[in-house]
Amino acid sequence: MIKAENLSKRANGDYILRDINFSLSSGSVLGIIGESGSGKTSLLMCLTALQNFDSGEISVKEMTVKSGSVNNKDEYIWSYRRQIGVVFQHLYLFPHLTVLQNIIEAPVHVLYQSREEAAEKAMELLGKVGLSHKLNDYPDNLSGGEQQRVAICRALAMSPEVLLLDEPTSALDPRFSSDVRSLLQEFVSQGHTIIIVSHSLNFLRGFASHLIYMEKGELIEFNTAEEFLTSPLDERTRRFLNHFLQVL
Amino acid sequence: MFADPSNPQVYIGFDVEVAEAIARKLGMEAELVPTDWTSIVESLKRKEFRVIINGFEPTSDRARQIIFSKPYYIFQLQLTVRKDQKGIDSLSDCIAQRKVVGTLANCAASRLLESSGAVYIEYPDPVAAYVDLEYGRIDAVLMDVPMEMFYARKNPAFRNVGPLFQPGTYVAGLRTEDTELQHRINTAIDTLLADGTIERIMRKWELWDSAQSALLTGTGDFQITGRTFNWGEALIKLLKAALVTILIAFGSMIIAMVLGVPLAFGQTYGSAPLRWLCTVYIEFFRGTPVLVQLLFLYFGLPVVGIVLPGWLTALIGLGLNYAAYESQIYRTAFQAVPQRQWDVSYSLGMKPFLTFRRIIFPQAFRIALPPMTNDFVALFKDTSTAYVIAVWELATAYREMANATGQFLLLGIIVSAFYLMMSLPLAHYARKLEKKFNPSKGNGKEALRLD
Repeated sequence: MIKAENLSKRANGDYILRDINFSLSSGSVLGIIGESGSGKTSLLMCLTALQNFDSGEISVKEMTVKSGSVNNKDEYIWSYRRQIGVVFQHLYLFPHLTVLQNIIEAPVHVLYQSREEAAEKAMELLGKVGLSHKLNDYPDNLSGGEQQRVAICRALAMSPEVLLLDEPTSALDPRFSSDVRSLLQEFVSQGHTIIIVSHSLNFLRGFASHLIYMEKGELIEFNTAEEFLTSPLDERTRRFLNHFLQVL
Repeated sequence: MFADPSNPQVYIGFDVEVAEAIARKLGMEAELVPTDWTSIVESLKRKEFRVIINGFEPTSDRARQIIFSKPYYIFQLQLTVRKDQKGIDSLSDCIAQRKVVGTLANCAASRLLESSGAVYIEYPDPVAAYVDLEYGRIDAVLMDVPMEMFYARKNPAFRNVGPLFQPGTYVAGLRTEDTELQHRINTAIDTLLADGTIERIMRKWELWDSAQSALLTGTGDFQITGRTFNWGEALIKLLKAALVTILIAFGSMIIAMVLGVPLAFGQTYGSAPLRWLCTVYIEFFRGTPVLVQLLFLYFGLPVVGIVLPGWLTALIGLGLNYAAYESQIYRTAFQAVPQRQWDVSYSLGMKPFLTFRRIIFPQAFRIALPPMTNDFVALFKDTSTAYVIAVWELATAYREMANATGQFLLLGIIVSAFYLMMSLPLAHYARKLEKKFNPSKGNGKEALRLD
C-alpha cells in the first residue's frame, strides 16, 4: 500500500507539485504519465523520501512521512526509504563495482547479510533476467538493457515493498523485455507494488493496473487503467489521450 | 657588502667603498649589481657584470674559470657559538663532538670544514647561518671575520671561541680575457694600499688588524684552497641529496593528501565561518609563493618558539602548500560524481557515511588520481625550493657542486637522471594504480568517463 495525501512541493514560490492525492493497494502497478516538466520525477523524489516537501504526507504500509520531516539523521526516514526501491532513468549503477558487487552492496552493508547469502539471492535474480554469465562484468561493459536489468535486480535485492521505475522504456532492450516483465509481475504477485513513471503510454498499456495523468505539477486523473483508457473523467486526460493516439 | 639598515635599497660596506675607490683610480664609476652569491662566478662569465668585489677569495677551482687581482684584504676565520653553549672551544671540539657547523656555501670556511671531516651545513647567505645558530638548529658558525663582524659580533646571544685562523685573501675576480683590466686594477690596489685609502676604509669598518701588514710589504704566503672533486664522492653526495628529496616529497605528499580532505569538505559542506576559514587557507597557500612560505616557516615560527630543522620545515611547508591544491582536486572530483549516485545509495538504505565510503569516494578517487599524480611529480620538483632554507636536497646539491667545480653540464645530466629515476617509476606506478581503480577499462587507454 502506498499513499499520498495533499502532497505539495514548491520551488522558488511556484508549485512543482500541488495537492497530490492517491492511494494504491498492494499488488497494483501504477503508471504515472505526463509531459516532461509535469512533475513526475519530483513526485518520485518525494514518494521515496529523498527530497522534502512543503505540505501533506506520504505513506507506505504503516509508515507515514510528514512534510518537512525528511532528514538524513532520522532513523525512521531510513526505514521508510528501505521500503521503496528506485530505478532511475539513467540507472546509476556503481561503475567501480561488478554486476554482483552492485547487487550485494546494500544487502551486505545495510541489512548485514553474509556475502554468501546476498550473492545467492543476487544470482537468483540475475538468473531470472538472463544475466548469470555477466556476474563479474563491470557496468560500462554492459548494454543499456543489461544495465537496466542489473539496476532492477539491485533494487529488488533489498526486498522493497514498492518498486519505482523512472522512464524505464528509454533503456529497455526489447528482446529481453519479457524477462523483465515476468520478473516484475512475479514481484507484484507477491503482494508488492510497482510505480512506473513514463511519458510513453505504450509501455504502460497492458502492464499498469492504475494510471495517473499529471500536468503542471497537478494530478489530473487517477483511475484504473481500463477506465483511464476507455472513459477518462477529465477533459485534459481525454485531450492527452487523443493527442497520443494521433501521434501513434 | 650589506644592505644599509636605514635604507635597504642602498648597499654599503667595505667592499663597496673599495670598489668605488678602485673605480675612481681607473677614472670610472662603479655600478653595483646585486647577485646571487653561490653562482657569482657563473654570472661573471655570463657577462652580467665585469668585476667581482665581494669578499671574494681566490680558489683553485675558481682559478680554472676566471682570473684574480692582487689581494686588497687579508681575512681570517672566526668560530662562533651560542653564549650558553659549553664544551666548544675550537673547531676541533666541533669535529670531535660531531657538532653541526654552519657556514657560507663555497668559501674558504666551507672547504676547510669539508676537508677536516666536520659535520656542516652550507648556507646561501650568512644571515641564515647565524639565525639558525641562535635558534639552536646548528651548534656553531665558521665564517670570515668581516661577515662575523657585521652579522654576529653585536648579538649578545653569541660568543666567539678560539683565535682567528686560516688567513686568506679577498681579491677582485675578472673574466679570463680581461687581463688588461686586471693589470690596471692591480696598479690601483697598489696605489690605494700605499696612500692609506684601503686602511682608512677598513678602519672605518673596524676590520683593520695587524695581519694586514703583509699586504703592504707584499709578503705573506697564502694558501689558495680549492674544493677537491672526485666523481665517486660526488655521486654519493648526490645520492644522499636524492634521498632527502624523496623523504621530503613523500612526506609532504602524505600531509597534502590527508589535510586536503578536511579542507575540501570544510569548503564544500562546512558552516559559513568554516567555509570562510578553509577558503582563506586555500587562497593563502595558492596565492603566495611556496618559497616565501618556506622562509616564513623557517624564520618566522622560531619567533613564537617553534624551531624545526630545515628538512622538516620543507616537508611540512610543502605539505601545507600542496594540501590547498589537493583539496581543489578532491572538490572537483566529488562534484564530478553524479548527485544521483547519492540518491540511489540512499534509496538502498545506505547512510551518508557508508555511501561516501563505499560509493562516492572510490569514484571520486578514480577521477582525482591523474591530477594527483601530476601534483606529485610537480611536488618532486618543488622540493628544490628547500634550497632557501639550506636543505641539502638534489637541486641544492647540483647548484653548489656545479658552482664549486664548474661541471654544470655533466652534473646537470646526472642530476636530471636522478630526478627521472624517481619520477618515471612514480608515473608508471600511478598508471598501474589508475588501471586498478578503473577496472572496466581493459587497457586503461580510454579516457575516464565521468558519468
